Order: sequence, then structure tokens, then C-alpha cells
Amino acid sequence: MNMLKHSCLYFTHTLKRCYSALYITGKKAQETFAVLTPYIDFEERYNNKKNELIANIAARNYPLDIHKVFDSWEFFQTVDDRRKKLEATRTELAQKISTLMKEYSKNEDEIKKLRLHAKLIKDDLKAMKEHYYEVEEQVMLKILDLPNVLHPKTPLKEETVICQYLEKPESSSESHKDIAEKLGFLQYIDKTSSFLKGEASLFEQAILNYFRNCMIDSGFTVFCNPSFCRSVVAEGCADMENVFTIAESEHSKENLNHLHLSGGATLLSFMAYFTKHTLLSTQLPLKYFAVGKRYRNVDPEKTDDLFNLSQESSLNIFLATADNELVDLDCVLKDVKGFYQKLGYHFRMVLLPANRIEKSESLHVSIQMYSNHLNGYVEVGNISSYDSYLSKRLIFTYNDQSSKDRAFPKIIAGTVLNVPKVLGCVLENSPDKNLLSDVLNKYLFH
Amino acid sequence: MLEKIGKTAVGALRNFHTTHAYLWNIPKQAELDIFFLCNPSNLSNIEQNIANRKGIGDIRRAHELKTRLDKTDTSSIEYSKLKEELYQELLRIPNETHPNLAKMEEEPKILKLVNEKPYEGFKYLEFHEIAKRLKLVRTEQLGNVSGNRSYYLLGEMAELEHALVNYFLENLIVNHGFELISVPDILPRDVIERCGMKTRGERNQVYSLDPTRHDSDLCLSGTSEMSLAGFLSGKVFKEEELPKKLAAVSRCFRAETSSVAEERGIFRVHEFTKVEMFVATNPMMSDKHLEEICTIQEKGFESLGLHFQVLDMPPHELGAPAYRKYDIEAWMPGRKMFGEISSCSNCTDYQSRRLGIKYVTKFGHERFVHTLNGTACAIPRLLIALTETFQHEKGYINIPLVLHKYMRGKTTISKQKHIPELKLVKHKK
Repeated sequence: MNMLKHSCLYFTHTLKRCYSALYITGKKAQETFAVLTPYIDFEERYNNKKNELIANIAARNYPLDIHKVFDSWEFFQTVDDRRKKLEATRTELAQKISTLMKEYSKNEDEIKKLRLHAKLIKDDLKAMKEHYYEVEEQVMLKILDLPNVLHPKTPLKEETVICQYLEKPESSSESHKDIAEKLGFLQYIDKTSSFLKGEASLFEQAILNYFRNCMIDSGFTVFCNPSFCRSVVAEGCADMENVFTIAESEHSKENLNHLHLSGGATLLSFMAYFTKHTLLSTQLPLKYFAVGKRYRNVDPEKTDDLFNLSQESSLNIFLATADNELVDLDCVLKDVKGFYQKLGYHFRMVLLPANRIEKSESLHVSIQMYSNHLNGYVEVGNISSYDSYLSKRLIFTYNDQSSKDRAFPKIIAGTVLNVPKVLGCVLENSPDKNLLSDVLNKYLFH
Repeated sequence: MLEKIGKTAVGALRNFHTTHAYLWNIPKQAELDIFFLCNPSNLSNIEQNIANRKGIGDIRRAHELKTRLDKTDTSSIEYSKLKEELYQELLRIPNETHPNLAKMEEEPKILKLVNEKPYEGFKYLEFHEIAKRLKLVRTEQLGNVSGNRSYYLLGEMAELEHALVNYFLENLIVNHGFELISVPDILPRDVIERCGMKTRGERNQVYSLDPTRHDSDLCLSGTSEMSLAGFLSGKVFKEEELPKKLAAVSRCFRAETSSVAEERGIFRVHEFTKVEMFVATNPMMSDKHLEEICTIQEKGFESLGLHFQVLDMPPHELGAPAYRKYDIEAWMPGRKMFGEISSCSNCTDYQSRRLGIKYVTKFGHERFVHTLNGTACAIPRLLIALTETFQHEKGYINIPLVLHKYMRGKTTISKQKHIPELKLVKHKK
């Protein structure tokens, strides 16, 4: 027992202490409210899909030594087995004592012996639990840091162009920021604050209205979501790095579940809606979208233009399906392709390779327009498949009627339209053209 | 001498005054009307004004500081210290008040009632009952995932939000000559404070970004009035370019909380969408523009068929920046009460002096513009008023006629079929 205790100590000390709002155990759960406990499917991955995981991490170029995670997991299993055994023995002893108690005088010696035994087990458990929670937490946090499974369609090395509309514009161009400022379309202050004016602000309204109408025509339902979310959701979506954090009063400093500003047109605000909730399988698939803002902390080193703003008007879609997600993904891609074609600008759709997708994504379809100034493509939208990675982390479940077990919906989501990025590309593609084309003009206020 | 204080006094505002001020073109310090404020013959009037408004400034102390300053050697350290103290004190003095309000009692004056009150023989349900039954809004079980008092507008209720925004925007831009500006929702603290909004201390309404995680001193905008005032900061217009009439649709963030029963549901929330009007004008015209903004508001709500009252607000309801303010309160038949759905204010030169918004007269003189602001449409309360007023006994909600074309031809809102019944997962594992 002592040896085990020492190993635990060593183990917890060698790990970097970090706090999570998503996985809260033992002692900390007494101090702070644990919203949920994520569903961890590592056992299945470890036992049956070890090679897939190793290949996945290599393909993603993910900075993590997977063998260390395996070691931690094995160690935790040893500790956990020991804990389970001790708890089983304790229960067994309690039962025995309770039976013998019926004839106390006859069994007095035996009861005393068993009580002593029970006390030893109790002490052992107590000593163990001191470190058990930390070991558990550290292992679980490492596991929660693992990337999603890779979708079979995700290219391992190079990006794959899946469709293209019109030819790439060949002419060179000034930066869209210069063009927009000259035309009186933009007052750029910094990455957090910029004003669109003149035709550009009308373009923003019109293109959002245009896409909104298209989405409703395709059978999607509109949501207006909150802009705030808590840490548990941001961590659950593996998207903590770029969210803004709201300052809190002194007395709430102990709280791990901080308030963040992420915007209503984001995956985070949709996942917050379904976190820790269940629905019937007959209600799937869900097809939703939100029009609004997306706020992100942008790297100050990036260039000052419309491609790197902290606040972006966007349209975000969210689908939850029971099984065959590819069918749904193909349908959405076909629809979105049609919406972009009608705008009359060159674009393409590309499958990003494993090393360029987020750890929460299993597949990332990038919608790209061309920047004549940068001589390269800019992602103006995306549609990603998340499999059941997010639903498991945030306990979004459905009841499968056939098996009666709880199951986790597969999520497809993405920013279908990022207005400032589209605007930047449109200005560079054809600087002399009217921003409000005939197509968009119809949607100016409708 | 007085002018010198105004122009050279270094205020606390300078502490925020690094890159933000430069980028936003904000003057280093507010150009306060020192001649007026420090003139001994204005002392009692200013003092009475502060008392009427239940304001916080102390004009007597300002005058004392001024007297001491005048007696101090201009090259001494004491002089700069006093100068700063005086500037600080003057910054706290509220705007003047429209003379018509001088004899006003505590209560606002009802200027007019518009549209008939809805028929009273019907048992009106409250917004949240209707919204829950038709699956149009979710407010439950959100504190731990999206923050307190969060809400989701679902399906056709979300479509109604978009319809209202489009309807009011089109009216402002096409019929009233407003220019649409797309504004930032995250602003430097300095911009917000110069609009007359406190951002620190107890009971302030402004969310700040966590200074330990984010470099700059940034806050969330409570209304696009602040972004639009910031947009104009440091600009000097020609007289003939005025008025500048700007409109914006933005997300507004308010840290305020409330446990008052009347404010349950989505009546008072931490964030909402709002269409705002902002006007910068020649001072001679600002009274006229306040009436114009109020008329736009009245016509807009009248066209929706809402029953509402227009109120002339008493001095103590004006806050520091407003010279005069009208509120509009719509009748919410489910709640059986009037609830504020919009307001408009004339801030005269209170904001323009702090943000350096000026114009050049025909004779070449630089003057401060007057700024005005007004709500064209603030979503959650307008949704409450519309839903409660136009509920049908069969359970659905009628959409006002003028909004049909913004709702893709829909005339009613009924139960949302694509919103699933959710059950909370109670067990932790």
C-alpha cells in the first residue's frame, strides 16, 4: 500500500497542475460546483484502436507523446483496481459483520476481529483517496486533451480540392483594407474595433439576409443565441485559447467556470444549448443556424485587415444526427455551394489535411475565396464534422429506442459565412464592381 | 488663465490615454466649458441643477479649488496638483437641464398615449407562458453553461427579431436619411467613460474584459451609442455637413442584475440586439432633432399596433449626459403594465466636449456639435409587447401587418415543430 501511495505522490508531482472546469473531481468538487462529468471513451480507444490513435496523432502532427498517456492510463488502472478491491472488501466485511451482529454474544470475538480488519481497510482507502483524485484528474485531463478520431475522408498529407466555381482571378490588387478605406467603406482602428460604413455596411446586412433566407429555404431553423458561454462549454468544445474572458468580482475568483464572450453565431453557443441534455432519437436530425457575431482574441502579430478581426459578423450552422453523418454533410455542402455560386465570385471547397484541422474536428471542409493581394486563398467559411467528440465531452445524448442505451449525436457545424473575410476578397477580386450586386440588393432589408 | 486650465489640465483620463486614444483620435482631455462652470455667478444655478438631478458633482468644491489655484504660483508642484483636482471635479458635473423640466415633479410627464389599449375582456397570458407553450424561447438551465439570465430565441421568434431589425433599419435608411454603420461591440474603457458611463465600482453596468488575460483595457459596449460617439471622436465637420445621422444594429451588453418580480423572464437581460439612432447636429437644431427622433420612434411603434405612452423624463432620471430625455413605454397586457421599450436623449455638448466632436461655422469658428441618441428598436421588450398584445385565443401569435413582408410572408407564429423536447441529464456519470 505504501509503495502505491509513494507512486501516486511521485506521479502527481511530476504532472503540471492545471485547473479545469470540465473535469472536476474529489476535493475540488467540494469547493466548486461540477456541472458535469464528461463521458470518457478512452478504454475503447486504448483496447481496440490503439494503432488508429497513434497514426492519428502522427498525421495531425499533434504535440503529444501518446505513449506517456498510455503509461498514465495503465498506472491509473492499477490504482483504480486497487481502490475497487478495497471498496469491495469493505462492503463484504460490513455485510459479514451485520450478519454476525444478529447473535452478538455468540460472535463477539469474530466481530472484533472483523472490525479491526475493516478499520485497516478504511485507513488504507483514506490514505489512498488523498492522492487518487489527483491521479484521476491528471489522467483524465490528458485524455481530454487527445484529438478527435480522423474521418476517413480527411487527407493525411495534402489538401484536396472538392469543387471550384469560376477561374481564379489573375490580376494583382491593392490590399482590400486600402481599397475599402479609399472608397469610404472602412474606418479601421485596430483588431478589436473597426467600423464598416457606406456600401460595405449595407453589403454586410444584405449578404447575411441572403444566406439567412437560403438556409431557411433549405429547411434549417433559426436560433438567436447568447454571446456568453461558461468555461465548461469552451473547454468541452476544446476552444479555450481564443475566447475572451470577462473580469469577475473578487469573491468569484475561486470559481473555475468563468464567463467568456464568444458570440451567438458560434459552435460554443449551440453546444451550450444541448450540454447535459438528452432528447429522443426520433427528434434527430437537428438542423439549425444562427446569424450574429463571433468574437475571438486575435494574435496581435497578424496583419491589420479584415481577415484578422476580433469581431466578425457570421452565419453559423449546427447539425446533430444519429448515424449516417456523411449523407447530411454532403447535402449541406451541396446547398452551401449553390448559395455561394449565386453570388458570382470565384470560390473553392477544400478538404484540409489532418495536420491543419482542429483537434476537435474529424473532418474540415474549408470554403475559400481568393485574395489577389496575398496571392492566396482565404478561408471565408467552413463546415466541419465533429463525430461524437463534443457530445461525449458535454453530455449531449439521445435515447436510442432500439437498444434503450444512451447514445451521443454526431455533430456537423461551421461558420458557413464570415462577412468581413468575404468582403475583403470581393473588394480585391473586383475593386471597381458595385458591392451590392443584383442578387444582394434584393436582400438589403429582407 | 481659465482657458489654460481647460486646455492643459491633465486628467485621470490620461491614464488610459496611450494607444487607444491615438487610434480612436480622442483628445487628450475633455475641453470642458470652464468659463461657464467656474463663473461664480453660475454657482447657485449649477448647484440647484445637480440637486434636481440627484447628481454626484460638487460644484462648490470645484469653485474652492479654482480660487486656491488662482492664488498659487503657476510653476509650483502644488499648482499642477490642484489643476488636476479641479479638472476631476469638473468632469463629474452633470449636463445642464432643459428649462421646461425645472418645475417637474418626481414623476415623468405623460405627453401622449398612442393606439387603443387592447380589449380588456380577454385573459391575456404573459410572454413566458406563451413562449414556453409554443417553444419560442428557452431560459431554463442555462446559468452554468451560458451565464445568468441567458436566453435563446428559437425558430419564428428568432425570425421575428430579424424582421424587426430589417423593418426599422429600412425605415431609418430609406425614409429618414440615416447612414448605416457597422460598429464594434468591444470598446476601450476610455470611449465608454467619455460618453458619460461609469465602468468601475459597485453597481456599474459595464462588463470589462479580464485584465489578467487581455492586454488592453477593454469593455463591452452597453449600446451602440458609445461606438457611434467613438466613431465621430476627434472629427471636425463643416457646418453644411450637419446633421450627421447614423444608425447601427448591434449586440448590447449590460452587467446589471435584477430580482424585481416585474423584470422576470427576458424583460431585463444581460445582452440583446438593438437598432440605434445617433445624430450629431448644430447646437441650434438639437431640440428640433430630439423631436424628430421621438417622432420616428412613435411612428414606428404606432405602425406595429402597440399601445404606448410617451414620457418627458424628470431631471433625476436623466443621468449625467442628457439635457432632455423622452421614454416610450409599451403596454404589456399579460403583465398588465407599461414597460420601457425605448428612449431618446439630447446630450447637447456633454459628449462632444469629451470626445472632441466639432464643426466649423460659416464664419470659420470651431464649435462643439450636439449629440443625440435614440432607440429605434430593442428586441426583447419589443418581443414581449408584441407577443402579449397579439396573442390569439387559439394559442398562436398574430404578426403585425407591416412585418409580414419581412417574415417571408408569414402572418402568424405557432408552435415550433423543429425544437426538440429536452430533458436534463441528472446523474453525473
